[in-house]
Parts: sequence; C-alpha cells; structure tokens
Amino acid sequence: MNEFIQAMGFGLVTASVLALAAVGLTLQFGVTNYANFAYGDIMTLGVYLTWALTTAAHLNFAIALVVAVVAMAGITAAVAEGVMGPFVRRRSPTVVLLMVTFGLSLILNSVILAIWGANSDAFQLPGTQPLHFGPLLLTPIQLTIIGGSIVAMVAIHLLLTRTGIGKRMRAVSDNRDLARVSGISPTPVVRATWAITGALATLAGVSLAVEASQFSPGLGEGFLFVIFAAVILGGVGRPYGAMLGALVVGLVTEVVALWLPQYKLDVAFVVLILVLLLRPQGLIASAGKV
Amino acid sequence: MSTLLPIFATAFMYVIIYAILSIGLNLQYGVTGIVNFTYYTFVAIGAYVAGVLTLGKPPAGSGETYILGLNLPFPVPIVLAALVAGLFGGLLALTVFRRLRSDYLAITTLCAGTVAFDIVTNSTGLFNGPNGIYGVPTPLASTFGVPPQNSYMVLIPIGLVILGLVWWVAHCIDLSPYGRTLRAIREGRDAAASFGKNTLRLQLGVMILGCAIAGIGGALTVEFVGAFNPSAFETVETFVVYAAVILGGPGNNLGVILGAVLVQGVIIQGSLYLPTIGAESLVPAIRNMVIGAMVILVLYFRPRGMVGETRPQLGVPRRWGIGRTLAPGSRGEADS
Repeated sequence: MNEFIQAMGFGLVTASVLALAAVGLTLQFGVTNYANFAYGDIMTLGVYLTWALTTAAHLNFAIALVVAVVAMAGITAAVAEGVMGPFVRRRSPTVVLLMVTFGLSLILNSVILAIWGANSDAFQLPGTQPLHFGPLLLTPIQLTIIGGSIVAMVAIHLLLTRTGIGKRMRAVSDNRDLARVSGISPTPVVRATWAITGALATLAGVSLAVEASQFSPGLGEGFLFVIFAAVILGGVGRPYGAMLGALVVGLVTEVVALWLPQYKLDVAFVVLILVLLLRPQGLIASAGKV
Repeated sequence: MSTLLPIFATAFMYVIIYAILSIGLNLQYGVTGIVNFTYYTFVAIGAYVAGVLTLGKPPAGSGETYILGLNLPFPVPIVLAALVAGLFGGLLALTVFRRLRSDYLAITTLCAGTVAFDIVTNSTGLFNGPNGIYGVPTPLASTFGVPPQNSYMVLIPIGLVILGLVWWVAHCIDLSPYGRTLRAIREGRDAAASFGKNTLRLQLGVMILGCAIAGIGGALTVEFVGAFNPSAFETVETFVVYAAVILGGPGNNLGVILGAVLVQGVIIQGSLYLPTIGAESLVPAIRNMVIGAMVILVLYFRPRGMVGETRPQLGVPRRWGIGRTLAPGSRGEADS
C-alpha cells in the first residue's frame, strides 16, 4: 500500500512535468492546427541553453532558467515564423507541414549534438534530503517541480481567460475563420502562441532533466510520445484537457512502474491507442480537430 | 583499383537497399499521402526477422539470446521478413485509419517506433537486446564460395533483382486504377470516399505493402551488414528515406530511386570518407543538418522534387514514369 502511495507521489511529479509540456504542445497544435514534431528538440535546446548559462556564464540556476525561458520563447517564435511561416502562408497541405517540423526536429537535434556533443550532462543542484508527508517521500526538487507546474498552470488559465491575447488564442483555436471575420488577425496570435510554446517547452525540459538527474541530446525526443499521448487524451487544442491528460498519464506510468519499471513510459502508447479507438476526440472534445 | 572496388560496391549496395526502401515509402507518402514517421521500425522488423531466421540457434556460452534461430535457406527469410513487417504495418494502420487526420497517424507511428525500440532493447530474449544480432551469414555465399568480406558479389545481383521486382510492382500500381484511387485519397480522402471508394481498406493495403517492402529492405540490410542493433531506431534513419523520396520526386518511382542515389549514395556514403573534424559526432551532425535543410528547401521551392510526378495524357499510356509532369499546384499548394 505504501508503495502504491509513493508511486502516486512520483506520478504527481511526472504529471507536473508532463502538464507543462502538454499544455505548451496543445496550445500550438490548437492554434496552428498541425502537430509539431520538433517539440521534443525545442525542450532539449531549452535544457542545454539553461545548462550553458549555469556552467559557461556561471549564472545562478534560477536566473539561468528565467533567461533561457525568455530566450527560448523568442527563438521558438522566430524559427516558427522563419521556417513554418512561408509554408503556412502558401497553404501547404498538413502532410507537408508535418514533414517540415520533422525536418526541423532533425536540424535542432543536430545543432545540439554539434555544439554540446552526445554525452550525458547534469545540473549541479544542491543535494537535499527527501521530506516525509505521511507515507509520501518527496525531495524538495520534486516539490518545486510540482509547485512550479501548478503556478504555471494557473498563469496559463489567467492568460487564456483574463487577457486579450489569451482570448484571441482561444478564438483562433476554436475556429480560425470565425475569429478572422470577427476582426482577429491570426498572425500575432500565432506568434504569441509559438513564444508561449517555447517558454513552456523549456520549463518542461528543465524539469524533466532535473527530475531524471541527467540529460543527453535525446532527452526531449524520447519523451515526445508521452506528451502526445497526454495531448490527445485531453483533446487537441484543449489546455485543460492536456492538464487532465497529463495527470492521468503521469499517474498511470508511475503505477505501472511498480511492476514493469523498464516499460513505464510505454504505457502511454497503450493509453494513446485506447483513446484513438474509444474516444478519438479526447476527454474534452473540440470541433474540427479529429 | 582493388582498394576502391569494395568501397564503391558497398556504397552501391546501400543505394540498392535505399532505392527499395524509397519505393515502399513513396507508396505511402508520395502516392497515398500517409505520413509514417516510423518507417524504419518496419525495416528493423524485417532485419531482425530475417536475421533470426537465417542464423542457427545461439551458440552455447556466447551470452547471446534470440528467438527462433531456424537456419532457413535463402530466400525464405526475406519473404517471411516482408510478411511479418507488413503484418505489423497493417496492425498499426487498423488502429488509426478509421477517420482520423494525418496528424494522428503520424503521432501514433512515432509513438509505436519509440515503444518498439524499448521492447527490443529491454526484452533481451527477443533479439539479444541492446547488442543486437550479429554474425548473420550472407545467403548463397557458401554455395558460390565467396569470402564474407566480398558478400556484395552475391548481394548486389540479388538486390538488383529484388529492386527490379519491387519497382515493377509499384509501377503496375502506378498505372492501375488502384493507383489512381490512391492519388485521389492523397488529394482528398473525403472526396474519394464520396465516390464510393473504401478508403480505409485501400490505405490499409498501402500500409501493408509499403511496410512489407521496408521489411525486404531490412532483410537485405542484415544479410549484407551481417548485424543489426536498436540504434537503427533513431529518427534520422526514417528521415533519410523521406529525404530520398522528397528530393527525388514524391509519387514518381524513378524519381525516388534517383533520390536514393543522391541521399544515400552521394551524401551519406560520401560523408563517411570526410576527415573527422572536432568531436566524432560533428561530421554526422552537420550532414544531418544539411539533409534536414535540403528537405525543407525542396518542400518549399520545388515540392515536385528532382523528377516530378507524371500525369497521364488522354490517349497516351503512361510509361516508365516519364511523361508530362504534373502542373504545380496539383499537390494541394495554392499558386501564390
């Protein structure tokens, strides 16, 4: 029983990392209406940027993370504008857009390999004692990940419901043509979305790297399919669905890890197949996205 | 001369294998518009199946573990490899083809690839885990008395025959009403369905056939190289086949063979002989950047590739993939 509760605790940590990543991916998927296969590599690039700032520029970890998040928001928006923009403007078919993000994934991964090499690295964070919460045992780092993720989710909620750009993002995601005839120009909305995606990807990537205690250039790519499972489970373009999907997938992976530790992430594939067979629109359905 | 011959023969063999793979992927991506981001997983399935069927039982005390080990004669392993790879392709397709957009298939294939990698790496009893299988003998080599280092002397003729067969099958599909329907699905699945075409069954058929061709390519790879391990599951391997299809000419079987010559023969085999600069991984990383950038540039500036898809003219039978090229814009791009 204690093992099970402890697994649920780890599940919350995984779910927190996954929620950051899944919300970033689903916002962009919803607004631009195509999947981004370079997302895992954007996460990894954010991790290496943070790491370079702490090691080469000797910045404090928290400051380095903030700088990296801001920088990655800009880099992601610029890359999306420069590479994806021309294809979107000429209305290329989805198949072509998917291929371009796939190519972008290869390029970003190669850039990371060329600059930082193929070896594993790790953040030098102060070692800390795990804290007891009844039967739960969590390190301060894991608690920080959970807390940070909750703060980020609240921030995303406020952004989407209380700000103009957030409301425009929801409008474009729900129905791009209707948003356009209502006087919303999609271009700035798409740019803002890519920036938010880049920021969330970096937060998710660094959380993942810290939680796994080491990282290599394949970090994000290896995790991408789990993120997609959470996104599709929640319903594409549905940030609250993605949070819910992340919670479900996070808890399920850690509970499965009790019996099959080496296959814990693969259970996400089972979840994905079940969703596609039983409820392809996701937990929170949205029109025109299936 | 004697030192250059093996180098060129090896490169030539890889080009043959990649030409076969490109034709299989072209059926899926180029002709039908199916995005399968784990094409190389089916190559791996073919390679492993052919490998364990060709090998005997694992030698005692070697620490190797793999299933089967049936010691079957050529060409049985290649045929069975194609069947198994096609079967897995069909199973994957069944779960996602019902009425989902291309994004979902792409996502599901990506997930399936990662899971397949995990299974092969962790279940060491299946295909010897992370070390992979090795020591796979070249078919017919003992019959003709060819030494192992010259395995290409046997495999190049076999590969050329198989490439010819695969090309012929794809070419016949190209000319047939079946091929026309597949193109119709690519341009608009709902439109094709509204004409009474069973798009699910047709797409399923293409997944099975394309993945079976991948399995044949994998079988040839393992019989040529003699070994196969899970590092083949890296995303870049699938991307290289896509690069051949996209640069060569999606929808044109001769075009994608040309693409395989360019990507595998020139860029990849060529880069093996570049001097090492900096870290060991730097040259391959730069090579991959170049391939990725070329694909994106071609998709933008020349979506038809080097040799575009051809369109039949009234009264003129379409032959050999040469004919009037498709007008720009017919692959769904707007003119602007």
